[in-house]
Amino acid sequence: MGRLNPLGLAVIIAAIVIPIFLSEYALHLMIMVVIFAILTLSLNLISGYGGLISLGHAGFFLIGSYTSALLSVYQGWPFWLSAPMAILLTATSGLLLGFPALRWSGHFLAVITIAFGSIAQLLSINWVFLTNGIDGVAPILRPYLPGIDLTSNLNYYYFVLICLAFIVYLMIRLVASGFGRALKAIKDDETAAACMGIDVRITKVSAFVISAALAGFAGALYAHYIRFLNPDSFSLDVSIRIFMMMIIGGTGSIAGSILGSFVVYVLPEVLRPLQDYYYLIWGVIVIVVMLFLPGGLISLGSVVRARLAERKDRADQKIVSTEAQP
Amino acid sequence: MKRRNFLSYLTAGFVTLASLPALAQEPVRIGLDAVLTGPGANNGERIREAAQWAVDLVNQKGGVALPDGSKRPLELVVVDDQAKPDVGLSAIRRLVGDKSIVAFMGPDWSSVTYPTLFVGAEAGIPQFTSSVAQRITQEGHKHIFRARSTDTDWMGAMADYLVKQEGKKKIGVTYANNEFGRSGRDVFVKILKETHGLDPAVELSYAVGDKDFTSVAGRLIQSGVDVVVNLGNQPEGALLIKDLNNLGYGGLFAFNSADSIFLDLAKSNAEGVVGPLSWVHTKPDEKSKAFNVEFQKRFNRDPIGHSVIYFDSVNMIVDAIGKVGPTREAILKYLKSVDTWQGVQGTYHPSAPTGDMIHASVVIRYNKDLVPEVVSVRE
Amino acid sequence: MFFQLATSGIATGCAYALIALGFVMIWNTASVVNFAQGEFVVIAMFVALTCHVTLGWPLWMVLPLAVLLPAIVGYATERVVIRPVIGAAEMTIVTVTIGLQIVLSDAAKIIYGGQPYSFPPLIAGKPLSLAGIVVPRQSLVVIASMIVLAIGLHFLSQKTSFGKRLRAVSQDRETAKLMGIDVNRTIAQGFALSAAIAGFAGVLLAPIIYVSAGLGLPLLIKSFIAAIIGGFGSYIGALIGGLLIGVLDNLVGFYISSHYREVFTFLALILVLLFRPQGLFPHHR
Repeated sequence: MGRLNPLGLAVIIAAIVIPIFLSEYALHLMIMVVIFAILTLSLNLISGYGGLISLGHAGFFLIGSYTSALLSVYQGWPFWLSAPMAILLTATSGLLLGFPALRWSGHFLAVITIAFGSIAQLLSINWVFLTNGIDGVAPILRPYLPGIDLTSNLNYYYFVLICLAFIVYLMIRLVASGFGRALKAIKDDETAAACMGIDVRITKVSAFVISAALAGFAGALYAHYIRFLNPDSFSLDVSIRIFMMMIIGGTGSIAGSILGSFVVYVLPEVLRPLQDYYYLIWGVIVIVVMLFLPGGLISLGSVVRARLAERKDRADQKIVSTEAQP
Repeated sequence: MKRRNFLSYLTAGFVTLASLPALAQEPVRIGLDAVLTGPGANNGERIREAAQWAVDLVNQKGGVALPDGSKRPLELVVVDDQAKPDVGLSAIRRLVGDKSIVAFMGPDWSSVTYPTLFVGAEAGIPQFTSSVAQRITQEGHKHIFRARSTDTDWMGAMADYLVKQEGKKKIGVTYANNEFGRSGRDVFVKILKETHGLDPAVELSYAVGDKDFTSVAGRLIQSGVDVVVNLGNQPEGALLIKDLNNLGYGGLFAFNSADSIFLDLAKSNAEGVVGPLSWVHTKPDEKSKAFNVEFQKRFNRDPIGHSVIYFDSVNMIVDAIGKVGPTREAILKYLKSVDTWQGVQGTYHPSAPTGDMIHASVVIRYNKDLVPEVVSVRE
Repeated sequence: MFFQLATSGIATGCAYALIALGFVMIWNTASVVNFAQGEFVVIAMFVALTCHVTLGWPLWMVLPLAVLLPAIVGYATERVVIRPVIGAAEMTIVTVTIGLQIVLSDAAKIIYGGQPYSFPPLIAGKPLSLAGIVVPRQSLVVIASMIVLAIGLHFLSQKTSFGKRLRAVSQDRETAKLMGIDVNRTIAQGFALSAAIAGFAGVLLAPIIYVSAGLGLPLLIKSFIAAIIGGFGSYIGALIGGLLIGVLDNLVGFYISSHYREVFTFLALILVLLFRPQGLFPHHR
């Protein structure tokens, strides 16, 4: 990720220029893609770099959304205060979930996180006094920024895009830092990492806290975009969707997370004309990608290049062997 | 050089050829958003078939008539919201973003309709919904038309029937822990209190997807209620009445989704079940009877309430187009000036300021042959 | 009332138990967490629905078919999509099985639509009353079938060569290979068997919980929790975990709060993981 290749530059320019010409519907998709990209990056931190499965990210997303929305609607807090509060609260819940993650991994952690997400959703339904239950919270105001009208969806798009850029920058720094290296070492071999003097407990829990905080921030961005929240939007489906975005894009890759969010959010929309069949075809695509590109879509380039190199190698060898014969 | 010229002529030729008949036959489009996939897809298919049928009938007569006497084909554009608010939002943005769509119908689920209302409002497109939650028409939007009586109407009818006609006083309330169940529960409990001065003897909830209702049924029986009012979806309602009957419950069971889907699941357990509906195929008026006959011919089964709602909606839009032409603004403005419109479901009042066009409802009771007998009609 | 709740909970719990059993079997033989396990139940339900209700075939013909078809689908999916990823990162495998879950459940939705269908009871007649406890005949069928099936499976696992191969592969794939066992074939057969068990559960459940395309994932998650509570990897654990969840659900619903039934299932999971992380019956394989 250190160097920026021409393709990456082209994507960034496209992300800035193209939305000007998009319809309201396409713009909505793009905003959702950016919000989900932040969620996917947050999951990527613990899963991609830390090797811990989470199928409960919708729970963090929910806590972040609701915190910011409730503070803004019922207490009149501005976004610039309610969003940090959302981050703080989700970070705390990340701390809570970080401890089980110390002890369990793999499918156990998957179920624990499913449980966490389900409990969060159930409480948002049942605690009517706090969340207004199934009726939901509305109207949530867009953030106020002097001089820029964020009620315009195009402006809001640029706003979330800048947030994403900032988070990508943070992630690059984080992954390259001692913390990032420690996390990777733990993923590769926990015992070896501990022997090297890495504090496994603190590293894992911090990863959960940072991941949760990012998801909470994405939640705040979502709440103030969509302007209405109800518990329906935070089901297990959403957790699975975020997980898919990470895997399909490419685990452990920042660009992969963004690509994955784009593909997973936009593809079903593109497939919509197929009506009943689109979800089915989507499932097939997921399987096919996993079978042929286990490293995710982001690895497509390198896989193709490796194949070509292999073929060239073989061809070269043939030439060498035919030359050597006489 | 030559080749490019030839190619461009060829393309131009094809474009002209393709666009000529299209221009003459450019269809009038109306949109439909329904739940076609996902766990909430119970009514979606019935909604689509009814709307498509109404559109087909219009096209069989040569298409939708315009004010100048010409006719154009009518086309239904269908999108799926999976009963999820965010999916619904993109689905509706897609409908509304297509400028050739002059009006649209849906969503059916209140939890999707409510958060997406502003999309239609901003675009000024007439929207016909079958969602029942009261607050959908309380937000001051001018584009929304509700083609179904609300839960206030039905619950009022049901409470009247239970308390006045049946003389029940000890009422147990059970509800699904979702938007539909909760809002139904809130409305019913309020009406019970305000109109009849009664409080439920016991209130219980359950999750959508629950399979074992022994605990709920057990607590209902233990509390000795003589009527259970259940507010929720069909599968859970059918499971609850089954467990109640198994445990020997002898009282009345009233259910706000006691439609044909429920009947198919509950089978003989449905006997004696009371339910409020916006419309039922056994409703004894002439228009309903005629609709039934045609529907039976086309689909070989009984229509449900949603069939009529969406059938009527298509026809109301078609009538409006015939008066003022196929533009969103004209249709909206025209509908807001129409005081009464006769549909199969009853008399609609499109000009109602909130958008609540109709208050017709019935209370039914399944008899021994499991036929829903109409026991009370409200207009 | 307690015994009433417990009896009824046991009948529902049998469903979770059977699904958990197949789920654990796949985990043991192939190290695959199969999120599509619930869909085998759904396939069997729809086979039974089509053959028994629509075509009117008798039950004794329908039951083998409803068990066989999921088994074939299970075998085929192992061959086509699972085998290439066996041994890959757990996240890759999970994603493949989630993809499989989407494909299978949506195929059912496309064919049968989203609405629920009723299924006639396997044995007709009024519920029985035993010492004041009302037991629907259907529940008795479920409980009896589960006992028979559990004994049958135990016999299969201990006495037949297939069962021995299956156990050998579960314990140590490499050693099994060295001993001349065709590991790939055994894994595929394990998939088929676990899908068949799920199919059996599907037929038993169809009259109790209705048939619909969306059932698979929620059933699976409960069964997954049941398997962990029982001791992940243990067959006895899966069975008892399933029963416990069924009973707990009813008791909480009656004595504590109907609002928070699901929360208590998850709490039970967390408590078990905190105080007995190996599960309640870890060693009985």
